[in-house]
Amino acid sequence: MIDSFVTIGRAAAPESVPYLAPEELLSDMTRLGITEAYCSDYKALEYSAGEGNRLLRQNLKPFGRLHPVYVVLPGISDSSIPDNVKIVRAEPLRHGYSMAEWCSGDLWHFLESRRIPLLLDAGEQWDALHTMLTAHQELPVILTRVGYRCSRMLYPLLKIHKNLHFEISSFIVNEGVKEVSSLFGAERMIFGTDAPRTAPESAVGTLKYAGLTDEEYSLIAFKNIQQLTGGVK
Amino acid sequence: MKRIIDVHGHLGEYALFHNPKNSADDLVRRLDSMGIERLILSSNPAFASDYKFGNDLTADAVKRHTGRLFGYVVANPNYSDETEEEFNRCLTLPGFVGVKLHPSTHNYPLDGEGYRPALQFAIRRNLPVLIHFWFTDSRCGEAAVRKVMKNFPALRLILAHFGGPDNAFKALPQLYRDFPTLNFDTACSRSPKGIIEFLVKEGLENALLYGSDMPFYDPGSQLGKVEFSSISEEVRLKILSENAVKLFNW
Repeated sequence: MIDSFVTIGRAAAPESVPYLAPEELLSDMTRLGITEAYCSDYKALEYSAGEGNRLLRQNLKPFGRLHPVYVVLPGISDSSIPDNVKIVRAEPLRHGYSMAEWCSGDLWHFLESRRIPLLLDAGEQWDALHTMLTAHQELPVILTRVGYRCSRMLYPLLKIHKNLHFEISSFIVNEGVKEVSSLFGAERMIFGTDAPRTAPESAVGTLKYAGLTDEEYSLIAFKNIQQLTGGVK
Repeated sequence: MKRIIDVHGHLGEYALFHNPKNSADDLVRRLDSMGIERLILSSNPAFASDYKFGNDLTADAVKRHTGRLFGYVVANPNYSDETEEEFNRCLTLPGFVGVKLHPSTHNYPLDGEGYRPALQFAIRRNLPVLIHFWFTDSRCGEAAVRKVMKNFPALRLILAHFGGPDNAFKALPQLYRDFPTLNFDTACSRSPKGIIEFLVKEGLENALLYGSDMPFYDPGSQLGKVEFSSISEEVRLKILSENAVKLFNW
């Protein structure tokens, strides 16, 4: 399994036991059979995207199984994202900006031009998400924290937008992973734990007990994220 | 084979959101695929619309799946003058083993007069009572539970969802120390990292019960956080079934 969605570092108000050092994350990953993880850092989310991203990249250099995820904001420039950063993360509500074109269009366009997968916490702004996906059909979007009550919004968007994916950490719809695989294809889901905010054992259970075929399992567990990150220009 | 008993399930559709595969047959199929022996459930209409109709659905499901599905009879405190008769009606039927109360959906405080007949009945019949437990909802938060336990110390409550949002679970050890007959199920839409390990370390290993809230939540996510947590096998077995066996006198 490759975990697409982890946050390390010291949060100001941790909601659970934080990963204060990469070794702590690696210990959990080894115990749970997770081979690699894409990580962002609370400093980038809570203090400064630029400085937090830089420190994260430096911090993770000795750890080949851990890959940096940069937090992005509108106004980012081409030089802000090094070549070895294969996924970025955006949280418009947390960081006080709109997903709309007049505000974030340049950011989405830049990421789209390089096909950089975007971990996006859309905060249930479904109409804004639809508009954004319509305008940027080549941008690989991975929705984060998709909860169990939003299928009536999520499914129509999955039907319309082939570039829309989601990570499964919060997607605890009953037999939902199997249902989405049947309706839209296993290619639309990415394994992610949202650790430490969420116990990583939960997403592991969601995947392992989903009743998937071997191929469906492999796609969600690691192949889909490999394909998306492999497409970065 | 490891014995697993799920003490928190539901049955049927729910208008507020999509919850697929919610029939009794679907639930039993999923129990089979995951190696789960028993599921104790209430039906969604019992707390979301007509509670008597809901109790009827539960009765039918547990009758058709004897030994796999068991029922909680639901009381609606807004019709409290009917509680005694409804409980007597359902509890003469096979498969009902406990009481489920949902103060949020019935919009009625747990410590209100309308729940008194149900609580008194449960004590007389020694029935476990599963309660929707949510710290940020005064109708079924910590204060309401404390008040009820002071008034009815013989109650055998199962508090669901680890108290709900964010760091509510951190208050559970003190609540348990104050009321050691309390039990807590594991059903939670988001469980923070280390929650099971924390509660075990704090001495709740005999009070934790595996509950999934299926088909509101996928049971895979709920079982995973117990099955793969860093606890001893001995404690894991307590959570997965042994504590429930004791509580329900199985």
